[in-house]
Amino acid sequence: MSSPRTSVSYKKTNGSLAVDKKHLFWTPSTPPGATPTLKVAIADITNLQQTGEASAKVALKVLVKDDSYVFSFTSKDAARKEQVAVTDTLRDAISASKAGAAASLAPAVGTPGAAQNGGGDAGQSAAMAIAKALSAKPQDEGWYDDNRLRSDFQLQRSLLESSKALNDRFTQALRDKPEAVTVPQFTAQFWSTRLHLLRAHAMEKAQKEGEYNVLPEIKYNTIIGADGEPIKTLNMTKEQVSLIFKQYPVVRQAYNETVPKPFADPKIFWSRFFASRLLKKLKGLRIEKNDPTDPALDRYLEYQEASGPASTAHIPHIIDLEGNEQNTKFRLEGDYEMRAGKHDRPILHLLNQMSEKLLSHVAPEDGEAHAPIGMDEGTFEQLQLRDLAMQDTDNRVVLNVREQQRYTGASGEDDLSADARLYAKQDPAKVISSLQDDVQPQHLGSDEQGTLKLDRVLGFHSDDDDEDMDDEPNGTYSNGTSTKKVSNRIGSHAALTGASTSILSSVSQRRRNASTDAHNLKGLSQSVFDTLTITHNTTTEFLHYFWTLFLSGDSSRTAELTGLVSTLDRSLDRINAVGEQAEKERQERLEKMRGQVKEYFQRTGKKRRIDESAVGGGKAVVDEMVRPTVGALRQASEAYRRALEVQTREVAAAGG
Amino acid sequence: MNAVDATDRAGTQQEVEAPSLLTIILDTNPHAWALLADSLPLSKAVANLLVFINAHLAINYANRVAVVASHSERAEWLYPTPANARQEQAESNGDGEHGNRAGTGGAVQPPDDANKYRPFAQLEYAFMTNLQRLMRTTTPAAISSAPSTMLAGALTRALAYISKPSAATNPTTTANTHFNYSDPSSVAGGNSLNPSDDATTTSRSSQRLTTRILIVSVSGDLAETYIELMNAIFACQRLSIPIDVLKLAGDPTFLQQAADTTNGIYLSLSTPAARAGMLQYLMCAYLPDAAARERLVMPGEGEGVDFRAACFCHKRVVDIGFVCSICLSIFCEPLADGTCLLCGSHLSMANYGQKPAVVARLKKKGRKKRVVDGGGADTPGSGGGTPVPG
Repeated sequence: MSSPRTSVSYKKTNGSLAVDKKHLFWTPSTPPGATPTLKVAIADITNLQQTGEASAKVALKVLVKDDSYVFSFTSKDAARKEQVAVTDTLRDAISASKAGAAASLAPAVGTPGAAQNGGGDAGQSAAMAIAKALSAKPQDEGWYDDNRLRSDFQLQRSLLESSKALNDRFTQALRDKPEAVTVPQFTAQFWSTRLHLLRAHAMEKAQKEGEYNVLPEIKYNTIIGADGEPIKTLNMTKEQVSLIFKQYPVVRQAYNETVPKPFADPKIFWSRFFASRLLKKLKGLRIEKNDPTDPALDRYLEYQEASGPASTAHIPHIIDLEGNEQNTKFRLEGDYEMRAGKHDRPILHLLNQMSEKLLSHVAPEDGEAHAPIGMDEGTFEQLQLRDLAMQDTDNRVVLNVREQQRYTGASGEDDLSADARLYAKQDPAKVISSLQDDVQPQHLGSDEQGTLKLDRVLGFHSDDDDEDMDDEPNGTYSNGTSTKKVSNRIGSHAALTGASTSILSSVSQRRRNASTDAHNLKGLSQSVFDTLTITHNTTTEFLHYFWTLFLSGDSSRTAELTGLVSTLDRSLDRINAVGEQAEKERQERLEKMRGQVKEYFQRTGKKRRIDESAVGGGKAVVDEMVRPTVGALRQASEAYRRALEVQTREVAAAGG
Repeated sequence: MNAVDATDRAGTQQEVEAPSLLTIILDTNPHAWALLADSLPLSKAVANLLVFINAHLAINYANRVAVVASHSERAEWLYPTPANARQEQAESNGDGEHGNRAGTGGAVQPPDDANKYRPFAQLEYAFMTNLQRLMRTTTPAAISSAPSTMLAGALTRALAYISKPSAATNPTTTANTHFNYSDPSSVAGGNSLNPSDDATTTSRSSQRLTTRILIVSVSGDLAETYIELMNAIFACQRLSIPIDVLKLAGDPTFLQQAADTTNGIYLSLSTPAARAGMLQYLMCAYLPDAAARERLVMPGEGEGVDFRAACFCHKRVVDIGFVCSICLSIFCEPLADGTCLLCGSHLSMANYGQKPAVVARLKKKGRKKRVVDGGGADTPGSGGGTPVPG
């Protein structure tokens, strides 16, 4: 306990207070050497309170969940100093324990998600495979943990550097952020909604190139030497050498056994090796009779590679060609593809072996270390011969909708829609009888034979004037219920024409929407449009921030919220400024056109009219484009004002 | 030889227009029609609809039509006449009664007029008789208890009806194969017909029957049956059956989505003047079938779709809701015990959706205490709250 030891009184008993990394101890002074009677775990401390600076009494209140302990500092001259020292130590200890808790929380957060991935279906996406691989390696998992991502500034900076759009948005929003919001607060908020981008970036950065078949990569460089003879030189890097050793154990063995003796120098070994039959064999080339022999290296031609994981791996019968030779009694005479013997080309074998070997090195990276040998579920699914399966079983998950009986009682009349309220005013019996009347055949133009004369009911007589129709009701049908104000009579010419117009206009609108591209500037200049885009982006950013903060219910951050609201108001100004800029631009363009017309008039004496509405751009276009954004801004600030009003009143009431 | 023969026939068949089945769902909510009585009485709407149906039947002799009434407390077939109703009808015909009360025009007869195309007359007769019976059998109690309409039920009936002729026209595909629900690429009901399969059968049955649904809607308040309705809509989407919606009155929320999801046409006739032109809307917008629509720019409202959903717990239409991350069910407020009502998963929420605190709490006077340990304000996690659309 190297911590400060101070004399305090607790519950009117004198004693001393001590702090170590985990606990706060209070020991009564009598009897001397007593064990601490009060022990408070620092991790449990929720708050500390102290008496004011000017106060004569010096006390510290430690709040632990629901309990609180009050320690009065009794030292005559150094009470305040002691109290400050204890408080500082405590504060440090608390923040240390909090940091520790957060760190231990991090892996715990990652695991349940990973477990779910493991239980996922067979058709795993690449992302899930990655997630699974990560879950197998807890030390790497931290990279993809939310908190790590949020606090990794280097990663964030590198993401910003790689994406210009994001960078623009970030810097713009940072510039416009309200004073009340600190930079860390702002960045935390900014990244909290972009964790997926960070994660993707982290993964991207963590990718490294896999192994490749190294031998074919090493080639001779032919240089014309000083004497005019071509000199073949071989350049190999250290990595390539180690890769060769890794991929071709036989070369390693040969190197080990030959380098000190008979080959004194590795250089000699390599030059001999690259001219040898062994190389040809390893590359899968045919060994010709007149290839030079090499007594030292040819020994290794017969070398049998120790069977690696690839050769021992279980091959499913379905794709095992050798199985065809062994397991079937039929002679597959013509079936070339299905005979293992027919595939006996050294180069193919070699390439296959090579690929297997390369992949077997990566295997632990993307598969579970404890996966079952042979086929796993996914492979089986892939290999299954689906066309032979009779039918698939229904594997849907049944979801049961639990009705909310406990709530439905509460939903009363106020939940009814406007329509339902109108319905409630009607008398059901009357409604039904009127409808029963209405569907009688005579209302549908039924004549004596019982045939419906629909044309008459519709009141559409192609050549008749609408007025005549209304003035002289035709005797054969009753149109008493149908004659209304002329304009709204059902099936009148006016109504039908109106319908045609509205349909055609909606068709042409659709067509416009379908044909024009999304980047239609509607007459705005590119620079204005870009400004508008970035203003919109920033505004959206702040709106998001606002709602997160507003709905967090965190009363300690009201100042931040206030600042944010003023920023939202300023966003509106910024949008207006863009609108004015656009309007100015439009006026300039109009001015220029008017000038042209004037000049044309002076030159030719003819007047030309300009269609000002055809000139796009201007404030109207900007307003139209940002209408939803402005609406969102208004809604946000209204919500804030309402809450502010209510709570100010509440606080005033509580204060009074 | 067979193969050569078959390909030839398949080639010629493609020139014949495919028959199409039009299923109309007529919302007959009595309350809503009573409200509309001034601008568009039910009889007029039905007359308009009959003209439209006749036009549909006249386009292609193989075209078919079905009409379901989505009534206030049940869904009922108007055309074709269901078997039990037909029996009932026969009995009443035997008594010499036709169920009409005031007789200026005479009863609608089964077709016997030489001046009318027989199928039209048949359809009109059946339609009207069934509609009258539906209204006759409606009790005031039934409509006062149900403010809305049984649209989900009607849609389900329509879908069941559609799947029947589809199954009948495509015997080879539906008889032998079972629809594989786990395979997203397969299409239920054997709607995709391989033309070579039964190229030797007659042209009518070998052709793909194109189907569509037209909902003539007058009432809103569909949130009660939200899940059923959306299921029906997604079934239509999967079977690629467009749902056209003609909205004469009421709240458009889900029907607009229905039309949007299934590539149907949504038109809203909200003013009396627009309703007066109903026939023109029907003829202009809804008459082209799926084949024709591929080549047309279809009308519709360009102003965006109301994509709001109803919550599963109280059937409220929500602007901002809470979604279960496991089964995607929607709730209008954070769940009390943190357990999803549908799948039972345990859910937890970040500190989002709290009561907003905009005013710092004032300290009580007298006890002057300073908060020593601020603890550092944490940024709220990405609560996932989408900003309110403007």
